[in-house]
Amino acid sequence: MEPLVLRIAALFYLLGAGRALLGALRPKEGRARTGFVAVGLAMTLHLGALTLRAVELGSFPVVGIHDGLSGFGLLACALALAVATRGGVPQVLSFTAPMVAVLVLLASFFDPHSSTIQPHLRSAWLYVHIGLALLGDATFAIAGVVSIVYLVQEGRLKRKQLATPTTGLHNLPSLEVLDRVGLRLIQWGFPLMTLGLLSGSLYGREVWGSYWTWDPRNTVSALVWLLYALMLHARIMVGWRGRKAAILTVLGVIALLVAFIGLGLAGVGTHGKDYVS
Amino acid sequence: MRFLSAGVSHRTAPIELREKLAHATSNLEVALAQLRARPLVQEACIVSTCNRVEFYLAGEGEPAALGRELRGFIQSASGMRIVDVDPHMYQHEGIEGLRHLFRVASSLDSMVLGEPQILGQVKAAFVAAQKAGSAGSTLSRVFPRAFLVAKRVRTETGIAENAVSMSFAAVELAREIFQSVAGKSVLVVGAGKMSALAAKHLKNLGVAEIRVANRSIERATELAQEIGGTASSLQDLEVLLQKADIVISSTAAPGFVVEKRLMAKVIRSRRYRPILFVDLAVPRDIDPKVGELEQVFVYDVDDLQGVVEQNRSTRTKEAADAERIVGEELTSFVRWTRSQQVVPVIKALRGKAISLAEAEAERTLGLLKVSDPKVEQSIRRMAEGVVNKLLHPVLTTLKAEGAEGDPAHIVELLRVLFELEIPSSEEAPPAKEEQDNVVPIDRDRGQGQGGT
Repeated sequence: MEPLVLRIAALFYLLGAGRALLGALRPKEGRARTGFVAVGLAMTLHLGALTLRAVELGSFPVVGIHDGLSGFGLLACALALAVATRGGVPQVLSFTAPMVAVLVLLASFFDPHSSTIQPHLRSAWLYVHIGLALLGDATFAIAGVVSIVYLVQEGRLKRKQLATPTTGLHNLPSLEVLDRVGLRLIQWGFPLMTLGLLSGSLYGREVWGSYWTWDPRNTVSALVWLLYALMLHARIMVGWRGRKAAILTVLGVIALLVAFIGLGLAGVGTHGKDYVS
Repeated sequence: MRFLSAGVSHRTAPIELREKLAHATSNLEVALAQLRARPLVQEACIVSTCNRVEFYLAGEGEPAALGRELRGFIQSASGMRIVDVDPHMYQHEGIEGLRHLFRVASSLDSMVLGEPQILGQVKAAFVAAQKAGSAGSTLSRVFPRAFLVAKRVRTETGIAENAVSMSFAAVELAREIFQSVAGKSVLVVGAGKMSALAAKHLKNLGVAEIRVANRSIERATELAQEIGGTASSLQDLEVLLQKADIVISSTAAPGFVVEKRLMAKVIRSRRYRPILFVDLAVPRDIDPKVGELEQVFVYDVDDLQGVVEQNRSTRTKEAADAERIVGEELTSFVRWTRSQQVVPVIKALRGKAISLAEAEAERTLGLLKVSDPKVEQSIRRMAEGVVNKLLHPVLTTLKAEGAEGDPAHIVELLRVLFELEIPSSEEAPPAKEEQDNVVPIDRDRGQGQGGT
């Protein structure tokens, strides 16, 4: 039942992305709006699926690759929606929705029952840790999407492809807006990520007796954290902005996705088979 | 009532001829009165702009005859011989005349396709005609319709989108980089005419400050005063560049005024805040290599011209859509006026029949001395029923003809057969025009289907 709901949600995500993209390419009244409506429907279904899981587990559904992908997808889409409607970058939704569709579809093919937490590993810190980490990751992912839009717009302006009114590219937000929204997302994502790491560390201390282990995912996470710390420093203190900052953000997101999905799939280290039966 | 549009425009006549004609009609009130004084001409409107002088006429008789009257007027008002004017004149009759009006109002006939001024000019011309009392029932129906069509074209096609002039293109470029030009700082390098124009345009959009830097400080001060900015010397260029967000350059210098080495230094000290250069000078002021620097965007005259050209060609593509809309509107308008044509006949016929039925019922009731209200009601209903049943097919046919075909002959037939008195639209006072005016614009039938 739940995987089916997820797949239907994925369908609506794709539909919404398609409509939104079409609306951006050949503006016609209502197209963009139906895109938003479709994504809204998809998110409702998606939330329903997560609720089903929560009822089944009797706790937050944040354990294992199935719930992780699904939860991450919903958070990312909610953020994208916020950036699209409030942040002035509507294109983010058309970029994010297909990505979320793929994640959700992927999630629906993983057996949600393959991983359950052993009772002695249950702790409030686990939920805090996973929740914060997912939110931080989602924020960075959207920052990456915004940076991609920035790079598209910047490339267009540098190559002097100025008048392309029928392709919708000219409807992209200004560089100023894209740069500012990207920076703001990282400014939010960084403390979230930091808190995620700290809570994970506290959780580790509680169940394994050690604050930090050099398992592969921890190692990559630490590197990504360092990368973002440097980037924020460069942006705020040194005045890096624009293209360089956007490229770095995208690289950071790729590293993050590798850490999150790649290693998660491989199921290695404490984040893998160790803590689930 | 027949409709005619005729005149000269930038497509058909040289400027000298347009000037003479514009001059001859410069006092609109007089010109309209003279036109209306001619036989056959009952309504007139004159649209006179720098690109066109056009006459929209309505009156009795064939449109060609109206055209002859117009030529008579032109000859006497302008002093030009009609043989000199005629080859440059166009004339559209009936539906085609209406189509022309729709196209003009929608800016489809303009020199710069989609330019917004023409609609206002046509509106003003119509208001002038109304004031002069020369806009009767026909023009009062046709012009507002044209304004609606123009609005539809504007909102449903991209014909009016995108800048088609250099200074607009420059502002649009700025909007791609900065969220808004309001609050930004503008530097004008060189006190040329082009940069003054662009700077004024930016000023209107609410930029925070404008600095003018010129080799001669006098000229800089002059321009700065004109556009409400401050004057500086070109020697302070480096400092000025650090502060500016948008630089508009148009010096007469033979070489580059801003080179890459200088700008590389400046952009670092700006902490990579983006900067836009609009180089309007030929030869160029800004080394194109400057644009290779991060966060520096440089556009020259050719780039802007490219934008303008491309936007123009896009408008041309959008014009096809606009023509389709004009065709649609034309068809629906003609259909509507035809159906309006049958309304007075229907009213007259029904009114006559009902009053006959009532009179007969009254007579019968008097003869029978009926006292039972039920019987009385039945008799009245019967009389009405007979009349309604008899008229039903007639009215149905009339309505159908009104919607699709040419109802004129049926209208005439019914008028004769039933001895109907139909109020004529021409005699109707303007206040009543809503209910009983008729605009049969039915020449060239079938040509109004364009594109549908």
